[in-house]
Amino acid sequence: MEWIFIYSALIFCGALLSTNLGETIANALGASEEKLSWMSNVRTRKLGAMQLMLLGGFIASIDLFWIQNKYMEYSGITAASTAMDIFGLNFDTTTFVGDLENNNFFGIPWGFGGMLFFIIVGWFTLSIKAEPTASWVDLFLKLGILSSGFGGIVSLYLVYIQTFVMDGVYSLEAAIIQLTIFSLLLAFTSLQRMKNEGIWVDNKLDSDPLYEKRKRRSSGYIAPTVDSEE
Amino acid sequence: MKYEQNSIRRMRTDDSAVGHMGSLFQVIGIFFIGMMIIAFSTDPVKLGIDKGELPPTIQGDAHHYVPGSEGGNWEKNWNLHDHFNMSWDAEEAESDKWFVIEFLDTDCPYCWTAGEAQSQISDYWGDKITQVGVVVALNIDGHSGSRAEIEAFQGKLDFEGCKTTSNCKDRPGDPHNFIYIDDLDASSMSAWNLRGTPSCFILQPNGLVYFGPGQGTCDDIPATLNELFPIGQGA
Repeated sequence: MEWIFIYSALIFCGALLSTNLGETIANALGASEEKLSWMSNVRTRKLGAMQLMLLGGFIASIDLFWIQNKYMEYSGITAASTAMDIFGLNFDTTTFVGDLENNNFFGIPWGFGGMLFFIIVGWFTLSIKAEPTASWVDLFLKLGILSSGFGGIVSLYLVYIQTFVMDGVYSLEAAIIQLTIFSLLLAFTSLQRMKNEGIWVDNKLDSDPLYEKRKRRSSGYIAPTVDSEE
Repeated sequence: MKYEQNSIRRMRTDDSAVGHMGSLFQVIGIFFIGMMIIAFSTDPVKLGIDKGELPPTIQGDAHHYVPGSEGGNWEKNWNLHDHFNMSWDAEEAESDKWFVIEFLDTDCPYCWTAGEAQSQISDYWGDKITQVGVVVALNIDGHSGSRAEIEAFQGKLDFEGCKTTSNCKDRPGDPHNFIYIDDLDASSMSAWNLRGTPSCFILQPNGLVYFGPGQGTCDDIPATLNELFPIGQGA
């Protein structure tokens, strides 16, 4: 139960920072090139916010998968999980994971599916963050939108299952994961829009593409990526 | 000159891959940490039909025998898993019922003979177990199945066609007052990966297999039940 507060906070902060409010928060925190530099630029702030959401979503998926596995130990003791009424809806994770017919998506437990989703989308996000000017970034943005869109459709399918097949048994952990997937879809769409509108590259930030790498690597050869570096 | 251009192109390509390959290794590492947390802190049961495993569900319309009635009544979409008590504790909940499941074909001669044993099981341990007959139609010449034949086999009704050419009213044993599931399309039997009939199982109240083909045949069911619930000791 304690974990739910931790990953909910991560996801909430990430979702907030990825919106227009993120700039206000960054200004309030005094983000600059020296302090909280990742928040001082729209692109890096959105990507950082997405990392927070991805980490939160991944931990939430581990939590859901753990609850299901604990339940399936058949030890006679039900795993600690959330059970409460929110807006008149019955959120009961134990009942949700205990439904052997519906606690999986084509044999894949919902929590494990969430882990896979966040790992794949996490790969796209971290790659884009690491090399924002690389030629494959456009492809990865599109893949991010496609993956999140697919995740969104599967999330809606789960809502359908919970509402009509399981007669209104919801899971708070699953709901948090579903909201995170939709937030990521919006964030990816927003990044793609930035790329299309030509505001992706920040001249000051991206003028020296080797700068960040030089900061990371104290020695060794760094291959040039643009003609001017050769 | 050409060599230089190729080298530069290769360097450019390699460097461009650093970002996503490095990220790939990072996320794979995180994924394995997550999986290790799950693996070391939980120990879920396996799915299957061996002892200690959780079997697939049995789903289909269920026929309830009503004494004195020609037809009985059909219950829609009976689901085995809905009847499990997953938090069953052997020490604390002795009142929970176990499950005895027999996959049978109304045209199979062994299932015909086993009808008597099933009646006896019902008589001796009916208050301790939920007995279920799952009726399939094996893909063998002369074997056919229908709802009418299921009802007749279960209730020993006047119907020609049980055991291929016999009248169902002559089946050994009494009318079976436990439920029969229509699995004529063999969907549940396929999910259980069974090849023939009769196949018998004893499941614990939480659904885990206690006795299956790996432990013996249908003939061993009464002896196993007697070990669990000795006759004359509160049965």
